Amino acid sequence: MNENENFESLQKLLALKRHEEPPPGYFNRLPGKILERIEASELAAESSWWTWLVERFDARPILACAYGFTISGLLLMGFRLSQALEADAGVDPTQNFGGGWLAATPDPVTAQPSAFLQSHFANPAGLATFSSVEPVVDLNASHAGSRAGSMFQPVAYSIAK
Amino acid sequence: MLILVEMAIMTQTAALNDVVGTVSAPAPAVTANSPSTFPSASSAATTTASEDRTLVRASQEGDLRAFDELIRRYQERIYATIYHMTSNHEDANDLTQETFVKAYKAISSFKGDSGFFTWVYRIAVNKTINFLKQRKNRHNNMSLNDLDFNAEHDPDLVSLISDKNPRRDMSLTELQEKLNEAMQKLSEVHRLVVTLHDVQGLSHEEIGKIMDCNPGTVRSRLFYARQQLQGSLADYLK
Repeated sequence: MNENENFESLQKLLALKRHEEPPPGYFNRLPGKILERIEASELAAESSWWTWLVERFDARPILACAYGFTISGLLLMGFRLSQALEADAGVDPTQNFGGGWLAATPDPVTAQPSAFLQSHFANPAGLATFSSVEPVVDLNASHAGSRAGSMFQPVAYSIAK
Repeated sequence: MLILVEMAIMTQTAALNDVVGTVSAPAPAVTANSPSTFPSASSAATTTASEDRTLVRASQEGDLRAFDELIRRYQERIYATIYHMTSNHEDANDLTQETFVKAYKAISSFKGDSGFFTWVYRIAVNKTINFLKQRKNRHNNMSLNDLDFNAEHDPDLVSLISDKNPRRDMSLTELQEKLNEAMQKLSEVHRLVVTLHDVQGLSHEEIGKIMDCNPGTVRSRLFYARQQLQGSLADYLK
């Protein structure tokens, strides 16, 4: 027996479904939309790790808070550890912490210049030759070819008529 | 471009126009308007399959133009299947797009054991069935497409709405709603079998490949689904 014999009327009615059509022009636009989605998904796949991270955090704020607390905790632990190491090395931790790092900066009034500066600026007379308001010229240089001699040349101008 | 030229030559030699319409141009709306228009002729099917393989190879190398051609070939049938399953244009639109996006992402894994058509149909069917299972929990609003102009002149429908029919005063649009309501009462697999066979005109064997079951199972599901539909639509089939 043919399987369709008993369902002839039903199959005629089902033919109605073949006449259901999407809006005009729909199939002209669909491929473009699909290709746009493909290109967008490819771009998303190529995005940086930072974008990936931000997207995850946007989706899960609790995860973002957990990461924040973890990183803050690690920073605090690292700082405490560095303090402990300094204390072990003989540096008074209260001078650098609480008393402030600014307090550890040398006082410009009482501080002594270094040995290098002292050796270079010990002779004030020598410093006078480096005055900024007087020309730095050795006036005693008399031999030909000296720097001073070569700098000053007599010049005579004549006006042609 | 070379692929498209090559395909144009193949199209001419195969004289496909007699069987499935032009290959390079999009097929007319709802290609499976009648089961006889489905590319079942062996020579045409072979040529189409070889063209599909060429396009698939190009797509696997990242050629979006080749994939665009594949979309244009199958978009109407894929859309129609999903639409008849969901009875909702917006859902069908989303799922059709998702189907082709997924197909493009997975195309590198396509080995060619089955035809591209069967493969992409499987993706569409799985996506649609998953979607319908999720939708069970919420109210389904039907969003039906309009009937085309030819519906009023379809001899099958004209004979249905005749003097013998007690609901002859009913418009085709109302009949369409009743039919879609009855379809939505079927389970997903039964609705799928009716859609693929009675609406789209696929053979039992092809449906078996798509649904990953044997043709006997397809036949028994089809019989059961028709019985259910006949019960639901008894008033309109007298």
